Amino acid sequence: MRHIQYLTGYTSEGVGTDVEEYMNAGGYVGLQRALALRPREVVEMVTDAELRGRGGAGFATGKKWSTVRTDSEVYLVCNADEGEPGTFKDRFLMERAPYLILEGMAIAAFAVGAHKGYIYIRSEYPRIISELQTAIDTARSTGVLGQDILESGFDFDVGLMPGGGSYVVGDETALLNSLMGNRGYPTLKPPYPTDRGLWDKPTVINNVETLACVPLIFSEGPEWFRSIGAPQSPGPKLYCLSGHVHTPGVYEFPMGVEVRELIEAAGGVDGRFKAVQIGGTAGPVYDEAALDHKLDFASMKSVGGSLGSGAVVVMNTSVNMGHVLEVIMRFFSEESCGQCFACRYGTRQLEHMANEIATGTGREEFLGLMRETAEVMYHSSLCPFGQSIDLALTTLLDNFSDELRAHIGQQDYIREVMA
Amino acid sequence: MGATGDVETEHERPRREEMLRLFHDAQNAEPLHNFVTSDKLAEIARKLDIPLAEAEGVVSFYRHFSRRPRGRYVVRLCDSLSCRILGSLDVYRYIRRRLGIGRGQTTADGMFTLEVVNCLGCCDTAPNFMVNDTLYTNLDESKTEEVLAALEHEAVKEVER
Ligand SMILES: Cc1cc2nc3c(=O)[nH]c(=O)nc-3n(C[C@H](O)[C@H](O)[C@H](O)COP(=O)(O)O)c2cc1C
Ligand code: SF4
Ligand code: FES
Repeated sequence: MRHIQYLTGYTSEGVGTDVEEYMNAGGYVGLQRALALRPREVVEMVTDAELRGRGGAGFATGKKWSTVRTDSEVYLVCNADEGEPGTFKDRFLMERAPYLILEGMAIAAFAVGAHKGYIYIRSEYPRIISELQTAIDTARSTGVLGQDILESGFDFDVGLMPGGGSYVVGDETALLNSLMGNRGYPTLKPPYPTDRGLWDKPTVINNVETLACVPLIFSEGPEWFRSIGAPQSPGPKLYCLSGHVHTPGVYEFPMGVEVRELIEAAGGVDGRFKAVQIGGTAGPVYDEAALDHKLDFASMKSVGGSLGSGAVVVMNTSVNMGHVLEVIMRFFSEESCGQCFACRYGTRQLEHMANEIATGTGREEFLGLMRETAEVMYHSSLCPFGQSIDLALTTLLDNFSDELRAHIGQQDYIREVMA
Repeated sequence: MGATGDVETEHERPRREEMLRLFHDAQNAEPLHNFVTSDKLAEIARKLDIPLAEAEGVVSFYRHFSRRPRGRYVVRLCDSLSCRILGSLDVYRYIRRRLGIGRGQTTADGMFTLEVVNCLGCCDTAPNFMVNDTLYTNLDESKTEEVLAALEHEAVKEVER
């Protein structure tokens, strides 16, 4: 499979960051076409394209848009919280193609009847926050945002909201709470945001990359979009390659590219391949058996994994899997919002046991105890955060059990970072 | 609140959704100590017309904000997977040796605070840390030394000015 340049066609130097250049490259053709349709037809085209959300869950975008309650004011939110370890594609798009995202937001807003939108962006991207603000102002003065967009009579404006450094806030229900000036606690669904979101008004939340795909559906057509990549989850996809590869970065491929091909695109493994984590911190950790896996939502699901955000972290043989276990479990313990007992306590226990294993003071029975803990959390946690630890943990324990066992009883230097 | 002035103040008063932005402003207003002071927090609560305890509850949820004074330079070292396997632990150990502080600690001269954080969203240049709003990438011991020395130099120059 060859790499493609549909999204990245707008990200090359100077194209996506200058509104004139962006238009010369074909930008805002999609919005123009969408505005000539009826909102319902816009939703239908996205449904027809079979676009699935790029934020991690892979939810069908057209379906989400078609379930918006219509008897009220509607809000649109762009999820730019991007806290998933190993993920940097949204940053890449925001840095290089802000107008693509704003165009996608305008189309989405028109489709669902929103006149006000927000971009909730993590505070670790301060430079992007100011650049995005400039892009929003420029879009407004160019007539592609704000009042009477492209002289269609449609009004839509966007506000930027900085986050405060919390991973859980990336969850859509938590993000809405945070946007309203509350603690970023996830809440149970239903009600779904499309029914009751910001200030109890119906709200559509989409990931940055999802919204960036939307203009392409209108400029190139839904059939074109559907023809790219995997049949059940088509379209272009930005994969984030990091770790032990020669040229880490964002790579655009059709959905369904194999792990092996991605690693080759990133210059190959630096050293000898040992492991790969896919989709983020809650994603599965595999050995070389994963090299043939196809990276799209349906294929990953069929092998018991998950595509998540499209993060691919490659590890060579220098990596100690005890450390990997410790790093992942510490992440969960630090980022749990603490709202439910199973997750608050379970993540502490998991971190504690992982730390003992990594530092050589662990006991054999910890391996079984950790599985049980994660399983209890899977069944009793309120949000996907607590439920998702199970997958990362079990794949790590299944695929690297010999090494983790051998690790028990070997003193290590890792305790230093814990001090 | 008087009935007559309400319409006016309703427009001027920032809305609750501005809360995080106000916390950012409050923290940035203390560049030497990078924290949200009690005065500033009370001011925010007043502006938003919410109880102080509620503002305290919200600010404490977010790791980016501190209610206690920190150093002039807050070093946020990423220790998520991509940074860890490419050497964040070496960077951590170097900083600890060089500045004598571990995670969560501030140097005695109030210059540096070291925080160990999760993914900064730039794993393609791992290992990374941020110092206040600036990102430093592809770190190793010698680059870390360069950054720390430059920051010390910058601080000294400003004192002399
Ligand atoms: C703990 C947690 C963290 C999440 N973090 C993010 C994130 O950083 N960015 C994102 O777009 N979606 C994130 N999500 C997924 C969102 O809840 C939501 O599904 C997504 O923003 C919807 O957009 P999409 O349909 O376009 O993918 C997270 C979910 C959970 C449970
Ligand atoms: S599962 Fe964990 S992160 Fe999710 S709401 Fe419960 S405590 Fe918070
Ligand atoms: S893992 Fe360090 S920036 Fe992502």
